[in-house]
Amino acid sequence: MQKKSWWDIFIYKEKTQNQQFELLESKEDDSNVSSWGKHRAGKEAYIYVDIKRNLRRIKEDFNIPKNADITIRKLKICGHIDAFLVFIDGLIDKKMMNKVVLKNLMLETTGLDYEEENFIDALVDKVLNVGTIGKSNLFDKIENQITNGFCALFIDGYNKCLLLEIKDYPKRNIEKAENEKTIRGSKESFVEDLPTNISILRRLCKNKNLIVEYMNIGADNNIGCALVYIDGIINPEIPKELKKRINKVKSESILSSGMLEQWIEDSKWQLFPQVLNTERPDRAVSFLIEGKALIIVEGSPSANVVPITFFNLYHTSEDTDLRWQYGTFISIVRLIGTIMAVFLPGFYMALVLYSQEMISSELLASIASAREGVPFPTIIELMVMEVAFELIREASSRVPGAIGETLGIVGALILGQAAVQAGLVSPILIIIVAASGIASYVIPDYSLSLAVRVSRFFFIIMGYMAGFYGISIGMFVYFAIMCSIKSFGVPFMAPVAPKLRTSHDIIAVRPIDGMKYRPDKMNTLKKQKSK
Amino acid sequence: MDEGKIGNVEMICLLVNAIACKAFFTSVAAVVEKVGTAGWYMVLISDIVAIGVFSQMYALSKAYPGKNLLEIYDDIVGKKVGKVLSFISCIMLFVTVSITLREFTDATNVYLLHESPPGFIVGMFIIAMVTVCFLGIEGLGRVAKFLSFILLFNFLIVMVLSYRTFQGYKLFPILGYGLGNTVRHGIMRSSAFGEFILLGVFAKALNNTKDLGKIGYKSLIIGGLIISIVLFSVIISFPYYVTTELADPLYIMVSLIQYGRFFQRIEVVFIFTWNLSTLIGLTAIFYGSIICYCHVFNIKDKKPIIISFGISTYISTLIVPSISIILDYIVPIFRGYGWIGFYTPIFISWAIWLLFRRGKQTNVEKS
Repeated sequence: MQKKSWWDIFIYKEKTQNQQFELLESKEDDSNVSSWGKHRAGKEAYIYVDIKRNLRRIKEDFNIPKNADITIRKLKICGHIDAFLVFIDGLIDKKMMNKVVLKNLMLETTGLDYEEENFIDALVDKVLNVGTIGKSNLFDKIENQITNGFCALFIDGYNKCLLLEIKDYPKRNIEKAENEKTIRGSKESFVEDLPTNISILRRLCKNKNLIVEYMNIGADNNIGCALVYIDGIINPEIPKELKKRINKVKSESILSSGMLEQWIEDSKWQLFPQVLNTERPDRAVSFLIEGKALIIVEGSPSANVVPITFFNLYHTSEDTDLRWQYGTFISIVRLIGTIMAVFLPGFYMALVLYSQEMISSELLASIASAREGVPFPTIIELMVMEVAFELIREASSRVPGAIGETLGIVGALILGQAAVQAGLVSPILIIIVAASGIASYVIPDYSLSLAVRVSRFFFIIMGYMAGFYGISIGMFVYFAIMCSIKSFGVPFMAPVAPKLRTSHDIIAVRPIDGMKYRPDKMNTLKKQKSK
Repeated sequence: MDEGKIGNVEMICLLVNAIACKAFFTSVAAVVEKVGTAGWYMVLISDIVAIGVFSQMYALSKAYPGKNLLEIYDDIVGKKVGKVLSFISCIMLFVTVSITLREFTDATNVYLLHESPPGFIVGMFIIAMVTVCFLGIEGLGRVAKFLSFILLFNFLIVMVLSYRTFQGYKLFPILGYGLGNTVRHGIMRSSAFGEFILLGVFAKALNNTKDLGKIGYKSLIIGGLIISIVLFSVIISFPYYVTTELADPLYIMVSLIQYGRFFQRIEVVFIFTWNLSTLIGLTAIFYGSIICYCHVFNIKDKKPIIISFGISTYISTLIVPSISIILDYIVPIFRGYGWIGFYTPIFISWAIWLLFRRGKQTNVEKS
């Protein structure tokens, strides 16, 4: 190695090329990005009789050997016939594969007549003792099922493929519902595994008319979803419309029920959610009984419910679990909380800026003395506190459990106290922001709660601009928009606007024997749910 | 644009708000000035006259089921004259919006937003009207129904709480400035209920046009009662010579509510009633005028018209320089002679139908 000397610094050397990675636009167009896309352009591709062509096609489609977890296991059945199995390592039960499928195919097929016309049926009937076996001759379908955890068996000389369901993969156990807690209701929640979720529903709803239809969503990703409803109760137009909307989804990136919700909702520009999301199977079943449909997406620990109204988002399962007196009481408390969460800061703004004469003298003096040392105008003061509150809330929901709670307490107590002592905000404002913040926690649905949080800022601005006049203008537009929203054809504010017959549990809950009818807005086939 | 359908209660709420929102402004003082303490039943006389004219409109709608008032005009008097009659209705509704909005603006300016320019108040109001009109009659009807019961409850609460200011003797002399004078003004001022023509304009939005009569009579009765209650309570709260001087006597009456040191100055409850009722009522009238305009000029899509109508309303509302001109000239003329514009198209159509078409229709039905 050449020894470096001090005069080397005066000698010109070519710079070494920068090895930093830059992601530039690919010169290839996107028509060939999906290996499946190439074949999809034309008609549906059927499998070949020649096993070598099938093998070549599968390798090409799954990018083998680049794709390391796709396993192709060649074997001979009946002692001399070429066959191969395709499966994804990690999605199948290996014990089952080795001890049942491979063993039986290699050892138990010796007595079978290969020339027999129904050789495939004989394999299914006599050799393969697997619970679910499907047949297909379409490459697309076969490949989808392989990605779903099926094992595909191709046999030389046959243009049909057997799909063996020997799925097994790690999954989460059923746990307590995290976001929709109840005191008396069931504690279990949905999990990410679709068959487990369906089994929970079947266990809770022992109705022979409970229909579960499986569908695939999206263009390439083929995430599975289940459409669940009770035949004979639901209006048949709802599942039809739902299937139409799900089939229209062309996105490749549907990974959760939240994403699907945005694809199938009636209007993407409305602030309010038009699909309800629940993680509680008991609540999901109560919706099924009301004549609604569920969509459960593989990989999402919750179910989407359609059609919904504002009052579905507003209620919890506790309202009906409890006796009607207690249910009514907590429902009224929740209504007060919702009104406070939306309007309280805006009302404060209107009172302080425009209608001081409406505040009693003592309270006015108290507010004035509290605001005396604050250097900011009321709108800045309120906005800063609201944003700070939202920051604390967002931060506490993103950090791990125990720290999150601590962060909330530290933020609310210490920061608030320090801000008042520093003279940056008035104590009364802290009370207003905290009260409206706490009130927003009574809203059981997360999406509705977010809508309310956003609405609050709208009313603060309206109150700042024109006091109570501005707030009433805002209320008119706000409620008019709410009244014009529809969820799968059902008015969002039903049964209040439009007025429809209901089971009398909008705000005040009736005794349980008084709740005889299914919601009229659902136009169910059976109107009465109890006699 | 999707028109949508609304129910009977929703339509009643729209009409009642359109009719009764005037009671919150200068009309009360104007009525007391004309007929003195007899104002509360003068309104009922106006209401009876309006019910009579509505019966004619109802007869027309029964003769032409499934059609709105504008199409009925076209069928009875021919397309060209029918368009003229529709245009008269359009202008009447448009002027009603402008005048009531100006009254509202000045009242808001006096009592609530002292330093805000009228253009700002009118601008915000029109933005709200235009936004809701884009949602169509369905959204408007539903919000009217959603808010009306709350407003009615607020209104009744305010009336009940004001009972301390009520003094029965102020009702006398019960005949006001004379029975003849009361009846004459009652008939003349029946245009205060002229907004019932909206029912004919919106007829196709109803789920069932057979209910038109029921809706119309109910709306006129409820609207009349509300205005009468307002006048009654104001008359027994203030001496009539004081009432005539107040721009918004109802607001003053509400501001006098006082129960203990804390429960006083609860005008805020009333402000919401006042604002929201006016918003619902005027938006309905505004939307009605757009429908008439679109019918006259065969415009299928209302969307582009809504914004331009909003701008026109803004200009026409602010075109009068001062409130005194509004109160001394425009409002009295409009309330006194407005019935000509509201009722003439109905009278003409009804008379022609009765004289020339009815017999033909009966013959066709028989054959």
